[in-house]
Amino acid sequence: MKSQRKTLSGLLLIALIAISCDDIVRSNLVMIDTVSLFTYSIDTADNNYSETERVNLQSVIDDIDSSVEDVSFFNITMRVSNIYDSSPETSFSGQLSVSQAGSNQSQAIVTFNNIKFEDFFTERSIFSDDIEGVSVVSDGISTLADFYNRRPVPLVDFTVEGTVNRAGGEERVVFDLEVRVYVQVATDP
Amino acid sequence: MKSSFILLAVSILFIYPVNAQNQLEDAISQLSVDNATGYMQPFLNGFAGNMNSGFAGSAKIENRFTIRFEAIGMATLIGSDAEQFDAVPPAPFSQQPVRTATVFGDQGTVVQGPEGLTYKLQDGQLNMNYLPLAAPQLTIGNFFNTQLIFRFFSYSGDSDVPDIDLFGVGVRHGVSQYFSDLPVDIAAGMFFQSFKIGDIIDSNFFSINGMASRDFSLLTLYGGIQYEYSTMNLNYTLSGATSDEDAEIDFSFRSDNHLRAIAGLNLKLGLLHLRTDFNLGNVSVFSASIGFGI
Repeated sequence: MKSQRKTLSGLLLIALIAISCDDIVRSNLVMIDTVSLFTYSIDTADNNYSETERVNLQSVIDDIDSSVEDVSFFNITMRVSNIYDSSPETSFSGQLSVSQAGSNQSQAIVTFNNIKFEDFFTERSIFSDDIEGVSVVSDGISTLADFYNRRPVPLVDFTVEGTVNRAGGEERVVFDLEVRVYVQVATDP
Repeated sequence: MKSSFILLAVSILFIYPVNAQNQLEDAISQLSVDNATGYMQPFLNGFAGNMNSGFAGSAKIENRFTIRFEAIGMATLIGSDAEQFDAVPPAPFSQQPVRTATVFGDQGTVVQGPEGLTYKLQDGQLNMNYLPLAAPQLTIGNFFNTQLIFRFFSYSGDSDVPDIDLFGVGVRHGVSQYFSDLPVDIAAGMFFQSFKIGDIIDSNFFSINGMASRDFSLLTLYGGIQYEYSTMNLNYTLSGATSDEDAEIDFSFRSDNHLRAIAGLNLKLGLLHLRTDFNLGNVSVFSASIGFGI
């Protein structure tokens, strides 16, 4: 009898909670931020450099278990992560461009002019106004945004190219340039 | 006892459902420390409101053997003010705070950035007018006008259901014995509880209270005041962290609840104990319990 009473009481309470808690989990999306990181290892004996990294943008989607509703990028940053024996006063100019893998039609995303290595020892957004000499190219931003809107998201070549201006007496200029593309993925859990 | 364990598990599943296990954890894992604090603050307030409720229904603690098992249901009202907080979007968006959804809110705010870029702050994940919870409780005493209260539950197994670890211990002491001719019984108590849900949420609750009660035949009226201190620890890897940020987030924040007033009724029908009370403080909490014992 006691055990019946307990069970009945428990069930009544569960029912009360259940009735009053219908739809307590929203059908909202979960926004997930991810980062695509690629590093250019630049080593030049003359003043010119050009390096390309092929990036599978689709991996951003593939890495997520939930159903992906939307993908968009919201920031691109650059950082000089290593200058080896090069002078921190050495500067570089050029552009970061994007193209669909295999295509020879690239579109500049950002151009930079006489940027000292030391100014990029910390990660900086290309959209920041902190450093002079960095200019965002609207058409390139639109092109990249369009890539993220395609399904599947294509393989993309990111190319960094330009010139260096030595500040020291180094024979070669060697440095690593990290580029991060920050992406927001709307997922339906 | 089994039905009470089911109660706790069911209530946890309601606030932390299958699939929503990852849904809530994923939602939190996108947030910086400040944004996670604002996003989860109403949840902690509600959760702490519940956890610090329903300890006892009488201040009469006499020197006689007592053992009672109870299933306690609690519900904290969630007001509309708990649905929004001020969040700061990531770079390169303006670092001015933006009003957006908490975990109890609806759609996250979309902020506009340079070159037409947009960023949507996290959506709310829970749709509740009140936050429910249930817990089993065991009261043992009374020795030297003192009784112990335990709350314990542990679940680990099904990967679709978050692991749950609840442990609580409290002590109550009848202080009426030190006074003569009091019109009411008086007791004081303190309680500590630890509650871990899933992989990233770990909470601790401490409370100290004073209670007065008076018996009217089978019915007991009781009331009291309580000070409480509750914290929630969140431990996760920040998704989308910059190179300047530490992606391993491990921080604690405090509940806004500190003081509450309690008023309730307790009905004793032989071995059966029924009680309900209302708690008024920073949040409003109802609790009800059914218990068996002496």
